[in-house]
Amino acid sequence: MINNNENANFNKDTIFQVSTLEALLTGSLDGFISIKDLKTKGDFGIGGITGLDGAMVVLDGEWYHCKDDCRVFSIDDNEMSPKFMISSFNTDKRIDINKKINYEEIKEIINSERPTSNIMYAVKIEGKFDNIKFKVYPKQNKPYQIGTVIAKSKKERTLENVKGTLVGYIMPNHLLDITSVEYHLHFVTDDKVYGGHLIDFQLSEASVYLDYKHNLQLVVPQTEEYYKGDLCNRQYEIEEISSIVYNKEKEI
Amino acid sequence: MNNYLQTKKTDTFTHISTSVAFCQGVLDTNIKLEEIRQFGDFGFGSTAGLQEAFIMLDNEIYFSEQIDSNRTLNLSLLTFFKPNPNKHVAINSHMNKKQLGEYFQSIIPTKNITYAVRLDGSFEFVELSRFPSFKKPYPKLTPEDIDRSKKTELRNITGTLVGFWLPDYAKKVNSGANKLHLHFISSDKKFFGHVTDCEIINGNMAVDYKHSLNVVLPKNNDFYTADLDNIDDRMVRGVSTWTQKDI
Repeated sequence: MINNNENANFNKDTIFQVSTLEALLTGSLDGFISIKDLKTKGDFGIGGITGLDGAMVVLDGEWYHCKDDCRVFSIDDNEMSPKFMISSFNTDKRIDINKKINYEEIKEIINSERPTSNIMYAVKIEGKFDNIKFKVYPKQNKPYQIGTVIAKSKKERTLENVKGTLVGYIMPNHLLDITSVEYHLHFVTDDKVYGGHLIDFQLSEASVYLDYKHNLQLVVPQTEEYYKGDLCNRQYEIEEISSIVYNKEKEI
Repeated sequence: MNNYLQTKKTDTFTHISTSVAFCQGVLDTNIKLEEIRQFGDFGFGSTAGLQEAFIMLDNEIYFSEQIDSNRTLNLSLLTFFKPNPNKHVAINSHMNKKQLGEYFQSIIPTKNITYAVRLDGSFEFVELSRFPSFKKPYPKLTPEDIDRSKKTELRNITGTLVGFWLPDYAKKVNSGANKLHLHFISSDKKFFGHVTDCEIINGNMAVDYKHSLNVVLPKNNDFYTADLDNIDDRMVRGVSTWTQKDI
């Protein structure tokens, strides 16, 4: 656990964002900020490491590296990240849910209970899941493949009747040019054995915690790869990847 | 330690409030004037309701009139100016604002980061424009409000251009993204403001590369209740044209 002294140094209203999805899509998958340095920015967050080797979950100051078949491993402080969202977490609002709902339905509840759609939220959902599906990517190697090919390489896992926590962020529309997606959640089980990027779930009981955030600090890489990337007009590609990740292309 | 994380003082550009909020009549934030030194020593902005304008150069803040440091800010752009040693450029031929913008875009290594720009020089003329100011309750701004901007022309004057260039992905943060956004302060510090045009005789330009963009959203009821998803296109174009005339 990160001690309280360190905690006091976190800017409580800031989400620290390492790079963008658009940058990943132009091949900037090499990490440029170490896990050790990210630990100075918060004790709550989600992200990945070089080559998108799995998915990271940071909860209560503990860092979980979900990889291979969505199992949790420890992470070395010297690993580097190409993409991360990290912050502190202090609950501003709690919503208790005691009925069967899925991912889309919980979004509707959160969207109607939050005070405004114009700010950012760090979100934590502790739940009893009837079923939950999540995924990780296998480690990508250079030369990196295009986004849709990487998206199709995902390794999924589905668990039934499991307790766990969803960790992530909700972003307002007006910041999507920087943050790319509105809801972005990762999952880790209570026993910290499994985790990954959330695809979908059905839950029967949950507590949703929201932390209102008003500062977004984006940091981009100082690399030739990033400098030469064409970041514009990637929306279609992002939608395509999203439909592959969330299995929308076949289900709907 | 990784230099990316020492960004608070060296490599971060801070944008207080956003253009989309401004267009919807959010003209105030919870950031006080006395707090701005934590965000930089270089930049410009205005106080709530655009009541007073300010420019910051070499860690000095210049105001249009005496202001209480408790006043809260409207849109403000700030950074710690640490120019790249390889990007000091002497300008020895006449250039207007449009030509400066084109020249700037030809010397930057990428359009994917933010830049701070300082140009000390002599000017044949500098045209400044002052946006109208508003009192509470703040109205939703209209293109006609932009037309009420007051122009001032300064002739044969020396001074400093203080500017920023923001990447395309910041276009909702600042509708002047992808273009140079310039303010001016005269050497005698008597005149300053937003530049709509100028003719540079000669000068020295310094460019600072920023790899961190810090967006500070207003923490107030006006912002929480603003309809930011349905912005009047005429207004966005109007503000963009006002900030970018001739580029």
